[in-house]
Amino acid sequence: MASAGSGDEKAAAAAMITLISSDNEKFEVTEATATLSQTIRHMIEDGCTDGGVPLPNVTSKILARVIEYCKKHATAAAGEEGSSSSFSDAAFLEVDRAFLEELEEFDDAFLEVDRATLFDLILAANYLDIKGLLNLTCQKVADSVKGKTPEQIREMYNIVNDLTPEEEAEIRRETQWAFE
Amino acid sequence: MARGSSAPAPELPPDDVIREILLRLPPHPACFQRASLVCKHWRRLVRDPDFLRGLRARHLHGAQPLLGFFDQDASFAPAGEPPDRATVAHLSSRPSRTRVLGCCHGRVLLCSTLDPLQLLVWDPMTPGPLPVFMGPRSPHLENRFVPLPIRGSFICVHDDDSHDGEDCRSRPFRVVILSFSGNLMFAGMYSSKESRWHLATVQPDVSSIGIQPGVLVEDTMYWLSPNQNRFVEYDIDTNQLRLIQGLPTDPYGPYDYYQGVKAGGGYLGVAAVRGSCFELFALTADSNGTMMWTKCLGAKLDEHLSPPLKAIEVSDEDGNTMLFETADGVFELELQSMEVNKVLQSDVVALSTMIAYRSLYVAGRSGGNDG
Repeated sequence: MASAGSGDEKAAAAAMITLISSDNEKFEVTEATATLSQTIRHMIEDGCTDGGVPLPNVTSKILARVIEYCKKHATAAAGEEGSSSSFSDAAFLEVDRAFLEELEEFDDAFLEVDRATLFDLILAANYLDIKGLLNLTCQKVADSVKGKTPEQIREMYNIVNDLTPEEEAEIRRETQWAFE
Repeated sequence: MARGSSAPAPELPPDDVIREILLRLPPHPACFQRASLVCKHWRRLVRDPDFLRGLRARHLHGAQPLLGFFDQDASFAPAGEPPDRATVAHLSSRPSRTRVLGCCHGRVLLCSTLDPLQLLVWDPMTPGPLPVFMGPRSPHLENRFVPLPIRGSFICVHDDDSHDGEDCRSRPFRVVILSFSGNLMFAGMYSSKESRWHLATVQPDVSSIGIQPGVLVEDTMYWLSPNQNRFVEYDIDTNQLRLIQGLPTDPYGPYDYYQGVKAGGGYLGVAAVRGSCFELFALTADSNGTMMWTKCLGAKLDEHLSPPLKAIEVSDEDGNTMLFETADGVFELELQSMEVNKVLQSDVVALSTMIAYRSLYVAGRSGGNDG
């Protein structure tokens, strides 16, 4: 349906979906935006979106951010489809490149959130099955962990070290290649 | 689930999400070793077989992380910066009186330096017994063992459908060696599945001096002898041994350095360097079936590397790389992407023959499924 011709564009744009957050706030989004979520896509395919889609695991604050992400990336997906038919045109490629850069900037800015929000976004992306968002947010956390010592990681994420001295010794024995 | 009690700290997400996060760590094994030291929970996640399969599947394409280089006879030079750096002590502690022949996917092929020829498969990433097997015997040597090989390679055997992240440690392997005795040349293939050797012998028009580490292209092993201007070709499947004469030249004559590489598409390649000019050739057949060197890539390296360049003989069975030494250190050129990375500092003496050691994280075997 995303590849609908220009004649159907109005109809596609008119197909709106209502998403309902855990705190009962309603968000009207286009189908193109909503279907970035595989979970919602399946609901639409099964015809169970009448009267809105309740998302009891997602607060309005997080849902607003998720929708912001989906809107931007749905436009990107549409842009890619549009330009693929004229890929030989250098001007289009230039536009594509500029758009991709803009998208990257958007993603970078999007990730400027505190850790609690970042985890909430990950949970929402996981629940809604939005691959791009899950990848983006998980990568952000992975990047924050990389190069850190176990102590630093525990401190960052408030994890208690419950490994027994015997277990630590076992890990050290198993991974001698990593210890001086 | 391990979590603290102070209020503002975010609650960690459920297992499948932590798993997604950990999968996105840089592939260097040290990252996962540190993650396993965070808490019981993370340790269990990181050593879970499904997680490790996912990790291998994720890094199936492209070379595994470079941990460092073995010298044939002595030391290990670790690549990278701490904390993502393997220890010299452990990787230098291989069984005594052995030589490193080759490495593949975390495993190291060793041969005994004492008669009779014995081969060992060392797995520095996991403690455990080493598979040991005797070298081949030859009727040309009155059924004695062939001499110590000058080159050897370890080959992980994969089925076409085994590329789903299966650990190659659970798969059969092959070993290929090249050995000389008097005026005879031996190429042999050991199959762990059959527990036996296939040995080809020729009286070659080539000497053992200056033969580079082997390059495996499909099921054929190639050893380049640049100063003798030829390749030794050993077809593993048919056990045929022959020579390929001639290397690419340009109007100025031969290049300064040559190295046998995989050219992609199942072709044997040669990387050739003169000054800071780098060129890649593939051995292809013309319409008459005549084999010829076709140039497929040319690049100037001086934007990445300051001359003088010295190419280093390197055996890298995983990556398609060429290594250069400059005054600043040792640099790795990835032939597919033409990316240049520094792998050794200038204070590390480049080894005469460097055998690249690459591995992904391997969970310890002791302790089984506990945690």
